[in-house]
Amino acid sequence: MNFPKITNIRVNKKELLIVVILTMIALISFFLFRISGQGAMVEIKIAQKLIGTYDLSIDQEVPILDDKGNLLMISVIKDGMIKVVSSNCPDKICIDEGSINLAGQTIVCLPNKVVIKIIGNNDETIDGVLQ
Amino acid sequence: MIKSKYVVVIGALLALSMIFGYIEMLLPSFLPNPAFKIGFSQIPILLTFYLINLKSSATVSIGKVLLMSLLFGYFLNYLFFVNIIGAIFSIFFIWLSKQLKFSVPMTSLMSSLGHNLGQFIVIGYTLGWSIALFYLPLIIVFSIIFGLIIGFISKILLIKIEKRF
Amino acid sequence: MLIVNVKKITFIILIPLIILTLLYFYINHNITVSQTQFLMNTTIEIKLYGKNIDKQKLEKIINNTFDVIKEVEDNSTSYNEYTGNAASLNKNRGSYYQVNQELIDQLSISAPFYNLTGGEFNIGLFRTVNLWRDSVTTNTLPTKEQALNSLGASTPNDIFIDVFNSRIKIPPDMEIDLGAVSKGYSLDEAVKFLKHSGINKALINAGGNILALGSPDDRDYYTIAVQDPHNISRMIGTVKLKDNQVIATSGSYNRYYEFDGKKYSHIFSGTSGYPTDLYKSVTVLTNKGIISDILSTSLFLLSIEDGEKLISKINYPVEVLYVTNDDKIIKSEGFEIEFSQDNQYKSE
Repeated sequence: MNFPKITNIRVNKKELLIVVILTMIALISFFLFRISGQGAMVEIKIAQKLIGTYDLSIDQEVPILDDKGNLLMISVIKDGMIKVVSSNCPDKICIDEGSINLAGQTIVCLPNKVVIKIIGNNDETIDGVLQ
Repeated sequence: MIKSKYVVVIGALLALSMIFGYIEMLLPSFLPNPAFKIGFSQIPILLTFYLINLKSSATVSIGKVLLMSLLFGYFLNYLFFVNIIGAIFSIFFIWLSKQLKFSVPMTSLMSSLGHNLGQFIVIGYTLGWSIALFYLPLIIVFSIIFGLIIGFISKILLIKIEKRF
Repeated sequence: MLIVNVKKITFIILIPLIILTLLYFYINHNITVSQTQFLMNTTIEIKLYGKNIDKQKLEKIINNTFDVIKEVEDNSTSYNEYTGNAASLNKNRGSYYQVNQELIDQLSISAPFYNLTGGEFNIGLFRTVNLWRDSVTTNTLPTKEQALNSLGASTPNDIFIDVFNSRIKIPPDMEIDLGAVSKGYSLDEAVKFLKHSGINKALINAGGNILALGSPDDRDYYTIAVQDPHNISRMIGTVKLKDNQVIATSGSYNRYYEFDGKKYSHIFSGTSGYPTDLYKSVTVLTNKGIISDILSTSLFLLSIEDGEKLISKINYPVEVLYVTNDDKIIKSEGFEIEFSQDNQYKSE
C-alpha cells in the first residue's frame, strides 16, 4: 500500500503559542466560573427542571423519579455527602463519580439528563438576619 | 490502491476504534469526573485521516458512535446525540487543522478539543450553561493534555507505518 | 535565529497578558465592606457592595452614613441623656417649639396612625415607657390603673405641627416617644445619603429593620434570614429582599420587661398602656423604612382583621407575616418566604 507522505510531524512554535493561549483561557474561565466552599444543600434537576432541594446535613435516601413516576436513580445523602447508588442508565458514570460535598460540585447523568448539584452553604449566601 | 482495499482498511480501523472505546469503558477512571476519557479511540480516527483522507476519518468517527450506541443500547438516546455532535465537531476541527497545516500532535489536540466543545455545547443547551461553564476549564485542560498524548502516540505509529510500507 | 525570535514574541505577548489578567481580577474583584455600630439602642450594620479599587471610598461613606444615623438618633430620642429636638420638645410642651425637619417628618407621618389604628399606635407614650422602666428596677408590676393613668387625657391628635415655620406644639400632659418610628426613619435618611454619595448597592441592617438598596452583582435580591422567635440560632425561612424594599419585625421575644419570671413585651397598647401579646412576632415587607417600623408595631397591636383594614387604608405596598402564639404562621398572599425545612411552624 502506498500511503501519502506526512510532511508536518513536529510541533512548531506557532502551535505551542496556541496551546499557551488555550491554557490561559482555561485559567481565566476557571477563575470566572469557580464555586467553592462547603455545601449545605443539594439541588436535583432533570432536564433543567428543579425537582427538589435537600439538606446535606440530614442523612437520607433520595430516589429520583421522572415526571411519569419511573425510578431513574437512587441517591444517598450520608455524612454531608451525596452519591448515586443505583441508576438505570447504561454507562453508570454517575455511580462511578462517587460522593460529592463541595459547593459547585456536580454529578451529571447524561442518559437521564439528571444534574445533582451542591449549592452554596446557606449561612454564606445570607446577607442579613432579621431579628 | 483499489477501492476495496480502502474499505478493508477503514473497516479495520473502525473496529479498532470501537475496541479502544470499549476498553476505555472498562478501565477505572483516575480523573475528577469519569466522563472525561483519554480518548484512545481517537488514534484510529487520526490514522485514517493521515493514511487515507478526511472523508474516511469522518466515516470512522461517526460510524464508531453509531455502532457503539447500537451495541450498548443508547441509539437515538440523549447520550447518542451528545456523542454524535462531539464527533461532528471533532471532524470539523481536524479539517480546520488541515487548513492551518498543523502538525500531528496539534491536530490531535484540536480534534480532542472539538470533540469536547461539541459535547460542551449540547450539555450547556440541555442541562444549563452554569454546569457546562463549570466544566469548561477542565475540558480545555484535558483536551490539551490527552490530545497531545494521543497525538504523540499517533505520530510514532505513523512513522512506523511509513517505514513499514 | 527563528527560535530566539519566537521566544521573544511569546515573552512580549504573554507577560503583559498575564499581568493584565491578574490586574483585572484585582481591580474588579467584588468586595463587601461592612461596619457595625451600636446606635438607636440596637446594633446597626451597614454593608456596601462594590469593587476592590473603591474600598477606601466605601469605608469613608459608611462612616459618614453612621453620622447621619447618629444625628437622627440624637434628635428623636426622648431620654434625658439626649439633648436633641425630641427631648427638648418634651421639656417645652404646651407651647410651640422650633424643631428641625427630621422631627417634623417623623411626627407628621406617625401621628395620623393613632386614628388609623383606633388608638393602638400612640407616639405619646413616653410616660408609659418610663413607668415600665422604673417598675422593672423596683420589680413591682404596674397595675392596669397606673398604666392607664400614664396615658394622660391627650392623644397624638392634639399635637400641632406647623410645617411652614418648622414648629411643633405638644399638649402639656403628654410626652412623645419615637421608639417605634425613628429606627425606620433613620434607614430612610441613611439610604438617601448613600444614594447621594453615589452608592447603588447597600444593605442596612438595624436589628429588626433591614433595608435593601440595589442588589449584589450575581443576583437581583439580598437573602434575608428571618429569625425563629423560639430559638435565635435558627430561622423560620429566608426572604428575597429586592431593591428599595424594607423588611421589619416586631416581636415580644427579643426585648421585654420581666416581672417574677413573666415576660412582658416592650410594645404597649396606646389605649391601655399595657403590653400586648397577640402574636409572637409580626414581620412587614414594604418600601419605606419609617412605614415598616410604624406598621410592624401597629400590626403587632391589632387583630389580623383590623390589620387588614389598616393595610387597605394606607398607600404603600405592604405584605405581612404573623407568627401566632400557638406557633402558626399566617401570611398575606404576596409575602414570599422560603421556609426552612426543619421549622416547626404550621403554615396557614
